[in-house]
Amino acid sequence: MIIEAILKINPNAEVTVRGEDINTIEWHNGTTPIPVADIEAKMVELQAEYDAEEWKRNRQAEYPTIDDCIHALLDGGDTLTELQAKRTATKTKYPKSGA
Amino acid sequence: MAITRIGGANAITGTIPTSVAPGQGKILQVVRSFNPNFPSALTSSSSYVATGIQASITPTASGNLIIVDFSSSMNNTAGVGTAIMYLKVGSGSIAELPGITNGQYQVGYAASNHNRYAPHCFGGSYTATSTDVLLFEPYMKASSSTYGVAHSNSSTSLTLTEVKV
Repeated sequence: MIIEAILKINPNAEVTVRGEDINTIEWHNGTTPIPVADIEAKMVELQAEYDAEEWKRNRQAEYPTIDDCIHALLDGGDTLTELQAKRTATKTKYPKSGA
Repeated sequence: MAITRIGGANAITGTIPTSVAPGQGKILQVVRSFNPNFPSALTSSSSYVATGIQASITPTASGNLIIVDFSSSMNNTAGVGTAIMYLKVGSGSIAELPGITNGQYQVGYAASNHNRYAPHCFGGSYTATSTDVLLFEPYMKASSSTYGVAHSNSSTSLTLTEVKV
């Protein structure tokens, strides 16, 4: 998470992070060090973004597979209706954040 | 000394070499650095940086062979990265293990869309030129995003074996 936060602040940063220790960051090849407080703030922001998309990850885990979708589209009828019902149930189970 | 196998339908003859020095090929010492839970080291550096995985050995005699074996159970890359083996002799500066040309993938190459989390391994050797302590360490660099020769909680081992020559 530390190095991801650093690269979000400076995509060209050349840096090494060992053991997820924010106090022993190595800056390489002329990269200007970023203050620890700024990195920590960005980490909080990234974590919030990740948490806010939990609904999406949950839906993806429970949605019918692509194979199921293809079969339903080709078969139509009840198969397609049942698949759409499953998708709707999953969406209801995991509403979008803030929805 | 000539030898002859007798009593068989296909008798064989040969000569036992006499030029082999006593003890030649004998393993003199083994040094092994094993970490069952690597603590993670990630880099975005475009030049090689230390992985922190080290092992040292002091050869008993110049000319002996040092066999260098490294393994990581799982790389960690979000982009593309490579690793190579470095060597420090005595108080000298650490540099790429000599004798390997065009070996930018000698320890490993990883790309997030091909072999993320795949193992890395290396089997090399070095002929000691003195009895100065030898320190071996894989170095790593990223050519895009981030790369680590070993994932956190993966296992790593670096084994050095001195063979009498």
